Amino acid sequence: MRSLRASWGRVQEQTWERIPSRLRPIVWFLIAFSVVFINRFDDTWMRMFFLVGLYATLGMGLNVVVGMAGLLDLGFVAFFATGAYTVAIFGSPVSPHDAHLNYWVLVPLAIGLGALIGVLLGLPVLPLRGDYLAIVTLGFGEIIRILALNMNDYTRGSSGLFEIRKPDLGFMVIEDVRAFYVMILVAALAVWFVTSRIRDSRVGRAWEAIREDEDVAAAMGINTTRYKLMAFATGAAVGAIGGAIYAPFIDFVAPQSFSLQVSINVLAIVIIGGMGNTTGVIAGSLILIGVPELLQFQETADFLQKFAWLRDVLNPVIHGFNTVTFLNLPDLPQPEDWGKKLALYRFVVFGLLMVIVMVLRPMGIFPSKRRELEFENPPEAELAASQGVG
Amino acid sequence: MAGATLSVRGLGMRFEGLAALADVDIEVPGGQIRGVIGPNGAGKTTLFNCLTGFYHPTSGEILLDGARIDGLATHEVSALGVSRTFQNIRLFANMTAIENVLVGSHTHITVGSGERRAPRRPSGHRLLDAARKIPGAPRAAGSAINELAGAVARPPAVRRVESEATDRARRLLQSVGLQRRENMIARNLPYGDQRRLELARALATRPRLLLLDEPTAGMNPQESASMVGLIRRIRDEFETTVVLIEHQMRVVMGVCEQITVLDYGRRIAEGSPAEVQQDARVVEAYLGTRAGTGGGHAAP
Repeated sequence: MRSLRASWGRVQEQTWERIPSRLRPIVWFLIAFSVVFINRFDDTWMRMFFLVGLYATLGMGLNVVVGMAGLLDLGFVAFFATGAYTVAIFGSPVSPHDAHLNYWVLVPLAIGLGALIGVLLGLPVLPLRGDYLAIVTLGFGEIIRILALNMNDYTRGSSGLFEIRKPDLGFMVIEDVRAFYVMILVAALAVWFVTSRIRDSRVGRAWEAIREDEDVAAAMGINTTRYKLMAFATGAAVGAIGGAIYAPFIDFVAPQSFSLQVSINVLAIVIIGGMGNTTGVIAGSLILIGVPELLQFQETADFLQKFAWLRDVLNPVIHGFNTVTFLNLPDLPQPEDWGKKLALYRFVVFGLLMVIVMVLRPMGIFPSKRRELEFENPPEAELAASQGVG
Repeated sequence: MAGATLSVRGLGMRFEGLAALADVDIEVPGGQIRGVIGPNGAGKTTLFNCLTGFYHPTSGEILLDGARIDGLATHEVSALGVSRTFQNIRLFANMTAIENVLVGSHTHITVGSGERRAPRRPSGHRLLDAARKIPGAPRAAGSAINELAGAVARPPAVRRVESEATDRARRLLQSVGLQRRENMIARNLPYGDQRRLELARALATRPRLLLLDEPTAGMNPQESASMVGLIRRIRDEFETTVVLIEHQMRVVMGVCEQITVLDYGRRIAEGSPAEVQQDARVVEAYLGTRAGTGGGHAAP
């Protein structure tokens, strides 16, 4: 008991105190929000929160590869697909290879297979760097999707796999959105804990050293092959966890769910949130996954009704404009259509939002502490000293 | 344990018809401070790159305490006790000073059986070398999983080696005079401190042979003088053999016990500083009877 308390103390000191004090209220709010207030939302909202949690988890996985080890991987969807297909192929009655295995047996299998595929895809790209690595991994993402499309005997091609066995906890079966939300929350927390522990270890330092200068890292005795493969495997295992949770949630696993778009979304989350930073990944996921969903909700449309008066203000302006110029701008649509229009153009809004974020915060929403330090200038005296020498 | 002896025999390094090094013999006894000088393009840095496994020499052999190290991978050479600094400082720019040093300690932050088998010399055929690694793959995977699990669970043994390494890193920073810079990002350090940090990082690997590539480049006379003192102290305290490339003659003459002179990839002279200074070929290489050599290095 005592040692348990002691180790909790260490966790606190190593994780909680790393969070800057000005951000702590936000963290408290997020915790309270995700646990307590969540009951007030209906299933549409819960679905959104689930997807936010799922992409945050995937983001943390990709962050290991891209943010920590500096290996630009554009084929992350391959591991997501591996996880989903493992659970679906061995745990769906419609699958030609149904193994009648319990979901909880399939999860470690999915993680293991994900890590294995991570290593197998990592091996040929070991000598590649930067852009070349990105192009080849991009190909891998597509290869997995096309394989899934064509290996009819296993995946049933584009007809897909469904009726996937649900996670059974013994006292309850995880079936509804709410339960899946809790599940992804637990998974995200676990992944966050594991990845932040690894980051603060010898392994994390080796990854960072490889990111900074691979040759010098080797000169310091780091077996770069080994650590690059470890990064690929760790990231891939996390991707597979995401896939393994996504499959029973969506209950339809087919190649079209595993397009390049998934890889790009996850990468965008990592970059928008602030590379190398877990808090940032969560924020990025909220914005990139949450906002587009939010824009098509009924609640958003209802909320827009409050601004119906804008129509009375702006329409005369438009008429005036049309008489002065030769343009023929249409009137604003009826307020009850605003929600529909917004849903239609949500990716325009989303794109704008992304541009704004990157202009205002080029290092991401929550730049990692390290990045903030990088952008900080050295104190005056030291600058003078360095000029004297250099 | 004194520093390791280094024997370079008939070393040659060709790049597409250009012989950067040809038939170089160097013999450095353990614990010596050896200087390598020569005009620009003489092959000094190429020599270092061969010694550290960055390049695989095209002929000849390199022995560290009698064991062949040429042809081994860079990290294997490093694990055998060869460490280096770089002419154009190559720190892990976005990591803090202490993290840089901790990366240097990488091979020493291990838990459990520290036994490591002697690295196997490659055959020269890429596919054959790759195939040789296959039988070891399950063991490698096991140790990788073990290492990740240790990083996550942080058992007492892992915490202990980590804290020992941190203490040691602090002491190393202190011994090069960077105790106040511990948590500064490397790229924000003043130039002279970056050189010192590179030295601390190289020392963290516990070298038996330390290769310094122009350790005083860009330093003013006072800083150079303190670097000379530091190099001597390091040799004595850390019991290592030191080979350094240097252009500032004041430094070379002040710190080196023996000097090897390279020109156009060949060894043209060797001896004590006084002998080398008198050597006609050295004077010729530096001041030149041919056009375009020398490049402004003050002759001895």
